[in-house]
Amino acid sequence: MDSLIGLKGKDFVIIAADTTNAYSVLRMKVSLR
Amino acid sequence: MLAIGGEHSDVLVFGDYIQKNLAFLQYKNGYKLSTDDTAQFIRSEFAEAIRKGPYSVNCLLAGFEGDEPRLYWLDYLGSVIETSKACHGYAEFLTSSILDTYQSKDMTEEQGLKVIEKCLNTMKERFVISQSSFTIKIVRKNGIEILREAIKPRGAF
Repeated sequence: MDSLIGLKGKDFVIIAADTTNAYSVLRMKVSLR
Repeated sequence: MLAIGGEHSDVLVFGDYIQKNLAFLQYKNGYKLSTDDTAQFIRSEFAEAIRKGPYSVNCLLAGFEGDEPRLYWLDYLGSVIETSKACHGYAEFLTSSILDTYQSKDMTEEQGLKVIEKCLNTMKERFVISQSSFTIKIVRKNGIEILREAIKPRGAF
């Protein structure tokens, strides 16, 4: 569902990414691995 | 580290394209592109594609420039900005305010993770379609660590 969240700190960067693949209201796949 | 979101086919194609081209540039020039250079390279690819066959993907690029952490926000139109907090997709509507309130320049990792957790909880609470599987990665000077793999909800295929 294309949600990405990123945050920068003192000496690091954290990124959270959503791994579901959705088509319209349907969740097609949960993990892309 | 590049996080990409958007149309699934484009995500796969664009991710591979960037990865291969960065490897090619390293081979051609004899040195790796820095994080700043990589951001500009990706931007130029977006800017070129927008008038041909645009990739409908948005990216966040995380890395280091010397000792300084860098976070780049890039979208499919070819916009690029270096920020300290960024979101894409539906998370943008719900979590921008949380990041704006809690993010600070000299945060520790623990504090940062708490903020991210807060964002994910908000997504769970307020977004109609529950987004149950998030993967969290952290970029430090000496490498990337996967802090949380995507967790499959029970009964999922």
